[in-house]
Amino acid sequence: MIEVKNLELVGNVVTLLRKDRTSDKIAVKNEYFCSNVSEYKLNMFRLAKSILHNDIDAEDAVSEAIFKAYDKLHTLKNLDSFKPWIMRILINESYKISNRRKKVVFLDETDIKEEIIENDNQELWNMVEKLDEKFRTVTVLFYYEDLSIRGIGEVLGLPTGTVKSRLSRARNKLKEMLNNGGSI
Amino acid sequence: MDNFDNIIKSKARLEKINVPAGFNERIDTITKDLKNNEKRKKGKRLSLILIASTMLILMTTVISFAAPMLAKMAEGAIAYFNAPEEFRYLSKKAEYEKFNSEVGISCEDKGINITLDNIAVDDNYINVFYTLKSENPINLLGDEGNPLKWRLQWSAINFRIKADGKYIEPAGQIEKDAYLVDDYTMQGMQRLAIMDQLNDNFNLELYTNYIWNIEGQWHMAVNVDKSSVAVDSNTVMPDIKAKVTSGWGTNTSKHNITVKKVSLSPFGNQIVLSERGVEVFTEFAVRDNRGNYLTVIPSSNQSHPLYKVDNSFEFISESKDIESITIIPIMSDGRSELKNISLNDLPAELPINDMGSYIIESIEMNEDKMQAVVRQKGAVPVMDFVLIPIDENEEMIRLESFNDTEYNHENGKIIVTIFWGNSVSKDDLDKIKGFNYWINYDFKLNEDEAITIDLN
Repeated sequence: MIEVKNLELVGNVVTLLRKDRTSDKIAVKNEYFCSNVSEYKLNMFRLAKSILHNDIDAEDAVSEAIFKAYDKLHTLKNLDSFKPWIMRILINESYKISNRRKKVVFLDETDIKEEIIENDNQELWNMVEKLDEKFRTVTVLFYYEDLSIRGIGEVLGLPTGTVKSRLSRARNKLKEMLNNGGSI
Repeated sequence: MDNFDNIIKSKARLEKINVPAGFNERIDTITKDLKNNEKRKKGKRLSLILIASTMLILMTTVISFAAPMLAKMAEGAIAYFNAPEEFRYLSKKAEYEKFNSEVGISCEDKGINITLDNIAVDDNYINVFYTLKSENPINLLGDEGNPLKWRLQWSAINFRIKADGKYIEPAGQIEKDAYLVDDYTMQGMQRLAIMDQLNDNFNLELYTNYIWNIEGQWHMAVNVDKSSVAVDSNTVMPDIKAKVTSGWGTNTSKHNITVKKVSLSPFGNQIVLSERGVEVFTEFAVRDNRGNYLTVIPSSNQSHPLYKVDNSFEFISESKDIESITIIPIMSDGRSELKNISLNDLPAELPINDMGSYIIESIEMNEDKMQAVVRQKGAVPVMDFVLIPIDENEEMIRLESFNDTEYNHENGKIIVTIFWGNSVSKDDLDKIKGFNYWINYDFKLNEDEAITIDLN
């Protein structure tokens, strides 16, 4: 197995892999993929939690997204887009789990943790948790993940105008909460 | 990007991401497996979790239902109502005490003991009254600058429920209240809206995994018999599908809704609407068969772009003798304007559109708060009524303050409160000479798409 110290030196790993699946190149792929996942796993959890509102489902969504992303790594055209690309997969997985929870008779809900936990050292997150889901997701992507409006549109599959509008409304709601006694 | 965005982004960067215990290790194991090219079969982990959870459930079920206590709804006092001050659901005390059961079962974890004191269940709401005892002094959630009643509400338990082993999806609104008996004891209640129809007799499980940010396992089970309440309830499941339009201009919003449930019951009247989409139908008025417009309590709701989601709307009617209700979409272009009213002219009726008004019945102001008792007359938007202090020049006064709105669930009166912050002085309050309030333009009801539900 080769050791990858600087991923930028690897070049377009995906293209390489498509052409020749040698064991070394698979190792490169794995290393590249896993180091990115390790870097973003916490961000992924936060995004999933913003949609699903409970820890167990959010962790399941992250796990499923990792498996799915690994399978689909060949569809990633630009290595710099790894973060928005895996976030989009994660959002799809989160919605799937959300749907399962609505349609299936649950036997395993003893550990469900859906309540909004107010945390003293997370004043902003406490406010974000109170937003409606459509505003919450854009807020997390914009303020926490630092994605551009266009990037958010790509992740959520929404026109940039819609993203702008939601972000603007989310911003107003945050301001309103701050005016009503919140502090950050 | 403005300064506000920069401030929020810097704050976001500093906030730690809280993950469940073992999360990092589990994800690292997955990536390690992938690195070694030993990818697990999809679903394996979920299956394992399911099997493990099912075993846990079976064990729990055996333990919990070995001798399930029967909670039959009957008349009896509820200790919670010995609260030292007013609280949110006082208006329902008589109804709760008419139909409830004293329970007395407990569970304990992480030094926190919960005793389920009483439970009151009807077709629309499960109300639980409990006592929390902690080995350590209770640390309320939220900053000290926030009103105590908010911090108590945030700190009260948020129970999840199952009926006959089936998880009940919670409604969008979280309704709970609490007060401290002493530094180690809290008494609380939670009101959970039920969007489906439950059997008159069912096994109810209440559980939570977090209390005051402390992770643990608290679980209680009780067998509920609500047959005695059924006599005082009127529930229909009409399953009416309809296309409705609310608003016009840029505010136009089209919806395909299903009227799933309409119910009049002792603990609160309820309409359940089911809909798929990012924005659900919330702009409607409710009128009874006598032509009275009924107050709909604004609440948070849930939505999903791909799947149908149920939302519960509570409406207030002093009379339970209603033959039908009509849901009428509100047409409004969303434009509104601030009007003002002088303190000297209060109490007064404030028209807010061509079809409805708010009547301010009384207003009191002291160094702690301003409190107005308000009543809806006619059709108004489903949103909280707000009063904003103004000075003698009719300019808004910016005070450090917190707004709160409570609804008397029996008579529909609305208690609008502004809590003054600590930095607000008597001189500041003396400057208040009146209030601003919002009025709507082009407010009409879309009678062509009104939906009438027969309750007979």
